[in-house]
Amino acid sequence: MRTRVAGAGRGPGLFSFSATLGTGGKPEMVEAAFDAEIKKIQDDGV
Amino acid sequence: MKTKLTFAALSLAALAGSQSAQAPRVNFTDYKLPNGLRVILCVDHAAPVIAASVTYNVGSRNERPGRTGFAHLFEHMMFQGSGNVGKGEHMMLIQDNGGTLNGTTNKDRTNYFEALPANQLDLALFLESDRMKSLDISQANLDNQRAVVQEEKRQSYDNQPYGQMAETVDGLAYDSFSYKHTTIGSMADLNAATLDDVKSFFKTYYAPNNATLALVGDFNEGVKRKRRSPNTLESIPRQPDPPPVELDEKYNTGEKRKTLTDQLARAVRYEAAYKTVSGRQRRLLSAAGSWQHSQPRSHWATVQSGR
Repeated sequence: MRTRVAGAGRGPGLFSFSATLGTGGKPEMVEAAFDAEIKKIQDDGV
Repeated sequence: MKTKLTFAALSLAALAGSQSAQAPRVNFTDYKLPNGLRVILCVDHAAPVIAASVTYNVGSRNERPGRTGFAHLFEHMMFQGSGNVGKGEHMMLIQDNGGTLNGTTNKDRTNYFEALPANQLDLALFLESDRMKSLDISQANLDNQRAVVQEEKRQSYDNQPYGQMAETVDGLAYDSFSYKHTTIGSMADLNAATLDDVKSFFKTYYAPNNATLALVGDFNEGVKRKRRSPNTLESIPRQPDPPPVELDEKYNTGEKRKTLTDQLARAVRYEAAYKTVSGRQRRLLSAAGSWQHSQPRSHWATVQSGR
């Protein structure tokens, strides 16, 4: 999984996550994992 | 077998960490020449080398519809010669004197830089000032570099696995044209670029009052300020300020998803992107320690690709 913050510039940047799935991996699983991590950061901070 | 590339672009919800690492302190001098050129000097005698960088406050955000990719195309034009420098001589002069060089373009800015032995500082300043002052703008150079950029697009985007990802993310995540399109642009728009476009772009954006010179390394700051800079970049007249760019983005209230097919991809890729604040705002928020307590996501987009 990769996380990046693009756009250190003048306009709005993007904070993005990406993952390349292994054999049999489902996008829904990745999405759920992202959601869990995001919730964790929102609740507990970094 | 169908292989899926999945991607999701979200908007808003500033999620990054707020802790900033303790950065090493860098002492520098920051001032403006009478023609508006911002100069940043950072003396470092650790090694007998210097690096010069000229950053122009223009990127793909400044492009207009129908001319995407133009800022990057113009970056290529800047290596094609100028009033006192022949075609191909810029690179040759730097490299023959033991230096390295390059240029880059992104949404916000275009920069040009070279690193050289310290005794070649004047060469770096001469080359940068000559092309800022008298770029060789010709149809032959435009046609040649248009072909180079189009090949770069084919190689780095069109024929790369997941090469359409960035274009898809930006297209979904942003609302305003400035950030919505990619820096590499479209083939059709690159084909449409004219010599008049190049001339106008040069006059509008490649002016000292729209640029910053950063000089780092083994030099004497007093000599730079009092003697050398005025003889080169300071002699270039300022131009009218470029028109402002619309960068405002609406607050997103829902998800956007897109799935695309990528014949080159061999595995599913998924991407989620949140639209956040600008770089400047981010630093302020980070300093305030409030970034992680941001708004929930409101947009979501999925791109799926297969072969």
